[in-house]
Amino acid sequence: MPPAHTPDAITHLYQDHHGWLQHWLRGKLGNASDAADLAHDTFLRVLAGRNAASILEPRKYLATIAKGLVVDRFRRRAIEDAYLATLAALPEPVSISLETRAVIIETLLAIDRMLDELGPRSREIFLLAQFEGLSYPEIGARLGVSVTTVKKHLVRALASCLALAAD
Amino acid sequence: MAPPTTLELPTDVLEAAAHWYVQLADSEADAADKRAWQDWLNADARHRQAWARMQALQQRLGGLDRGIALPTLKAARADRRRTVKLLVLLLASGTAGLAVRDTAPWQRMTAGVRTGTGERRSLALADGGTLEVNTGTALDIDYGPALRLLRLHAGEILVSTAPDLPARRPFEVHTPQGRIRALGTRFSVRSEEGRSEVAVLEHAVEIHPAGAGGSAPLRLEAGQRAMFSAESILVPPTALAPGQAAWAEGKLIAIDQRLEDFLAELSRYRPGLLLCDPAVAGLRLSGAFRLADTDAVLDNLAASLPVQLRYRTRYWVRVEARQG
Repeated sequence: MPPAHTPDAITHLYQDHHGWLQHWLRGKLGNASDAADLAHDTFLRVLAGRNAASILEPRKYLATIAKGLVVDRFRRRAIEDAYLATLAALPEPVSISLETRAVIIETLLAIDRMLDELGPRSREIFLLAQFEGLSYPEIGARLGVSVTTVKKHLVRALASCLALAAD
Repeated sequence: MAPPTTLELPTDVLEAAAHWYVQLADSEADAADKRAWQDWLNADARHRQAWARMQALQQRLGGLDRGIALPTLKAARADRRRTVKLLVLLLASGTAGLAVRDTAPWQRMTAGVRTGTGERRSLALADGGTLEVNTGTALDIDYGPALRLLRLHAGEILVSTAPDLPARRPFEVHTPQGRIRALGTRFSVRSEEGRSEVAVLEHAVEIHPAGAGGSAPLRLEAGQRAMFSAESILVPPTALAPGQAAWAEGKLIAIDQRLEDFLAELSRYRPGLLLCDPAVAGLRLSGAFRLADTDAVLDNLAASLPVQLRYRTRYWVRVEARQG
């Protein structure tokens, strides 16, 4: 591994572009404190990433990272909102510890990311098998496809999960 | 869970692990399948690592309550489907100047924005500008490589444009009645019943009515408004009405306004029918009213003018002369 960054390069990157990035994000998000958070997170990613001195188009590079973070934040908010709404709609109140809840949210986020990688058919089959506990023939009957097709889509979905999961 | 040394797992190994998992979970799986799986597992350390990852994944998924996980995922994804198109647009053209050079797939992005009666939305535009969308509005945002275009089909918007660096694409609003070109600016456009009204708050715009052909555009400066149809200019540049764009702050402002005109304006923000008795149409009123609660605005009228409200339903209201 080459040394990640020379301190100078990262300092310059920050000095030259942090204000621009924060302004750019504020334009996107319409919210100054979210923009400040995400600008900060973007530079954290840069620190963890490749050599800052080798970045040729810094603003384009920063914007690309920031966009990914915006999409992620948006995804997380959608999952958190939907999770709370689902809990609120349960007939019996459930008490879930903050820690358990954090684990559940992270898992749902991981699944949601993975689902984005799949086609609609694979996505549907994965959800039916994994969360509705249907057997392969039941899924095939419901969707009007063969058991072989069901398995093929499931393999694709699970392989995609494995690729995103870390050991 | 994690083996002491982790190996790079190629895609085909991950696929094989997924294949074996699906195969063994099948109720038809038999002893021969199990032996074949065992052989695969024994063949390579990476196979065992992929299998361990699959077990960890299943444990994690199995830990989710089905009654919660599925509805949550479905609701979150439905929510995102509605908004993601717009989000992609907003993010994509941020580097629009680069897009022209890169011929990126998002060189041309469109998104539809609709608001219902009484609904207002505030949007960030891709170039850093902002867009306020008033009640009952339909528009499409269409940022292309050469032009930043808003197509206003009906309703009202307030635009604050931002300089589009480095591409400097022109910014235009198109209505069924014609084109409005921004000259670095803040302005509102309202289109309804065959007419477009433009009000300029900062800088200037140029108006090209659709049927005007190549004739010179009408230039409108800050503090002016004008109205046009597809064929002609209906109201030449005149001074802005006070509170012209107050709706963007959720307010309706009346200064010595006829009640009939005020109610016509208020009814844009209120579902159902809002009628005005001709006997009180000419009463005059002034004030700043909150659009968020049109019931309260009506109550306020009844308290301050010699009128009363007759409700047939929540959606049928008539403002009449007060009896007795």
